[in-house]
Amino acid sequence: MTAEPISGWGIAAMYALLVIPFGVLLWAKLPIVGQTALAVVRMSVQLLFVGLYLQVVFRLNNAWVNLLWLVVMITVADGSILRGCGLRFGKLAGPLFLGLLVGTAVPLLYFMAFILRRDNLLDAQYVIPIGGMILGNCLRADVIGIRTFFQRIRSGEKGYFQRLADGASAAEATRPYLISALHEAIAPTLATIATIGLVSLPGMMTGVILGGADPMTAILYQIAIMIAIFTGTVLTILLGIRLCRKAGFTRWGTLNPDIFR
Amino acid sequence: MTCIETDNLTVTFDSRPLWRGLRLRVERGRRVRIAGPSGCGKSTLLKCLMGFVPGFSGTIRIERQELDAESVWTLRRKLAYLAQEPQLGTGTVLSRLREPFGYRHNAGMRFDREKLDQWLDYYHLPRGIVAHDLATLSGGEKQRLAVISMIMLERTIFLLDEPVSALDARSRRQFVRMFQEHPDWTAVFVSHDESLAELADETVDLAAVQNGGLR
Repeated sequence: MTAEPISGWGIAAMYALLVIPFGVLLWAKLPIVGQTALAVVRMSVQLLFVGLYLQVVFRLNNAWVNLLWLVVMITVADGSILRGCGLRFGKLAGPLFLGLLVGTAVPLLYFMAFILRRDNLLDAQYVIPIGGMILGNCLRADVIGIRTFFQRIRSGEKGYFQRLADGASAAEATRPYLISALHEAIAPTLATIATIGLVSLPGMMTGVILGGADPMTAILYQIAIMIAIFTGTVLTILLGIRLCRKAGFTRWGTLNPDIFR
Repeated sequence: MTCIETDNLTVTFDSRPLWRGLRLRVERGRRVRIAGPSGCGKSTLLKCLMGFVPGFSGTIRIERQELDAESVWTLRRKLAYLAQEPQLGTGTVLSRLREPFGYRHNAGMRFDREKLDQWLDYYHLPRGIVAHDLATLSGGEKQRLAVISMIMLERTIFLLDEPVSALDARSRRQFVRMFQEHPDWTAVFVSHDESLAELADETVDLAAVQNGGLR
């Protein structure tokens, strides 16, 4: 059994549901009706295009094409995180890309090799959706973590300078900020892990159930993906900050003002 | 021995020079007070000597060694720095006071608990304060602890930015006495407090060098 396709009427009914939120927006006279319409159109177009691309990619199932797809996803996430943090691309895009690449690849390949036990670690049907889930969930945490790290040092410059003055190396002086950024960034992921199943039925589990699997299989998939996401989140934040540190600071150990927008 | 020397030191802020061509000589054991109106760059001068203002032009030498991006990591260990209204961070007092002794560059130093108690007594702080959370301390307690933290590192060249601004008269007197009892300690300090005036062997008016004048 596979997921039931949505018919033309079904699609029309799906968009018809928007009458309710749009009705509320108009009733509340919120000035975001146009913005909301644009967001819905963008979402639909983007996802339709992705659907078309994925059909081709799945049909080809070529390791290099799949790898390229992952690299494109990471590149888009890289830009999106830096934009979200108010940081310039120039010097930070490269090190952050590397952090995202390694931080995503480790749980993804582990998932493919030891949980799914795939011979082909780059099988499109698995590596693309699972890679996308890990990366997509890391993105929000990475924005919080990297922004917190640089902003805390910027706003608490005196405390940072005092550590340098007391004899700390750049790594030692930035360590308390790295730890507090990591703490703040993983807090939402931890909250999600702690309440999953009670508050929401997560996307992957829903997908597996719709795909015809029994709920227990879906649950096991969900547990596995949550652990992979958590691992990816911790790794991408830690590697992202550590790799960006060199470009984000001058050789004197001071924050490089050119990295901020 | 000259502890601090600057030649032709210029720092610009928003394309405007804060001062230009500053020449400073501070011999061992001398105490130099930096004066000038607000915004003339007194705190920036201290930061500059610490290597926290990389964009300066001219030369800075600490104990005859030129300050640059390489040497700054060694030279900072010769200097004791106290910022205006110091930020001590979070955690307990003891963890913060111990922290610098865990740094790789301070590996040869030992955290001396007995000496800490002596300094707490000297600054009229209860010994039990070490168990307190930094967030619960008053401004005066924080400043005294920042002074103690600085002293514990046993450095002899001090760069002090309003070091007694949050201290009461008794603690201010202790601060002055501490320097009087250590004639080998060198200091460059910024202070609007007249009780520190008696410490100064000389005063440098930064306003006089703002427009290119030489001291």
